Amino acid sequence: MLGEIALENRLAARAPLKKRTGPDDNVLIQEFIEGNEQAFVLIVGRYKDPLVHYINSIIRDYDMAADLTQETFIRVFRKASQYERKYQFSTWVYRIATNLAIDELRNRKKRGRFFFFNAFPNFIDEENNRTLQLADSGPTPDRSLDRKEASGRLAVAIDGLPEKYRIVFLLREVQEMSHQEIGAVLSLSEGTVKSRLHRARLLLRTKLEGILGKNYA
Amino acid sequence: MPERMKPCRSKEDRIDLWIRDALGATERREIEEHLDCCAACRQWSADLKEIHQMVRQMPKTTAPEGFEDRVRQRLSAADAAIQSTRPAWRYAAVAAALLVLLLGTVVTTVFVRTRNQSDKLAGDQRPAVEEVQSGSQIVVKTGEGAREVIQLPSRIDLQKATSQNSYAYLMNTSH
Repeated sequence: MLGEIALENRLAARAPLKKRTGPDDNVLIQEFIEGNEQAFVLIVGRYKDPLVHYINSIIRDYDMAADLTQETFIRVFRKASQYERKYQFSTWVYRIATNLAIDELRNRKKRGRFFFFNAFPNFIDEENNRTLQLADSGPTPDRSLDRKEASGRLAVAIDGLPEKYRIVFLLREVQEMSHQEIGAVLSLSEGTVKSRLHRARLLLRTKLEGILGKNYA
Repeated sequence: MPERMKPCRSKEDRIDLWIRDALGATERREIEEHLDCCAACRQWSADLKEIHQMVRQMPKTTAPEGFEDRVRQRLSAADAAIQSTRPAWRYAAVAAALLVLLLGTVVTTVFVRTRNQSDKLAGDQRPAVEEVQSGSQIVVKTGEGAREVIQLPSRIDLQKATSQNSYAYLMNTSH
């Protein structure tokens, strides 16, 4: 742990000033290529939760999402030396993760499997010991029920979006990426990203008719 | 329920940023003035804000415990698999290269030989058949004032025998 903190400090001194605290991703990848084990730990620690959440929000299968997140890291580390620095590291990571998630969706379609709505049925999944957290705490029981129902409806509505709209929407709303970043991840122009996002929102608004405006949030 | 109107496309980006509180003071004032007078954009921004908040309130999944260790194990396993398969691939690559080299040599040799032979035949400047005598004999001009009478075997193709390179053809056929 002390070694990890020392490395964070050492690398932070070398890294350019970024919004995120700690060393720059590019510096960490370089350290990893040079054989620094702590760099590996830091990169995985930085991206594992957002990636599991992102992939899970696309494929709605937590175990598979965790598996595909592992696969994302394997590909990142195996091809670390080929990483082109013309993109942000996060763009590269999300591109790999998105492609894996899309492949999984297509494989499921081929296999004729149903989509399992298993990501948000309960806020706490004790059986599988998964960590599911609400963004804020302390709702009243009635309000909690409303939120839960609204979240469920929203998840179903997002699931029902066509793939190309759903992924753009999730990158924007869940990962909070800019239009430009989404374009880089999906190899799309900013105009296409905006257009898909608009379409996704229109569809969602229609699907959520009856919920919107009732102040569940 | 009244149908929801579509927002002004030119304002959409800024509405998106407005709901995230990511606009500067001037832009924020401008978009708020627009929202005051445009019912469609007002409705759109309200819906978008609500969807945005609902997404933020959805439960967040996190990686399972021991995730790093599993990645490390898979990475080691992948490295080991590459190490174990590498020699086989190398041998296969070398064998394929040698095969290509051998085939190349054979093809080149055959090509060069055939080319030389046809060049030799094409380069034969001896003149063609002058006349066909009594069906099975032909007269060929072999030089200035010189003639040669050739007895044709039955297998000879008369068409070829009287063509441009007839002499070379007949010489080849008669052996």
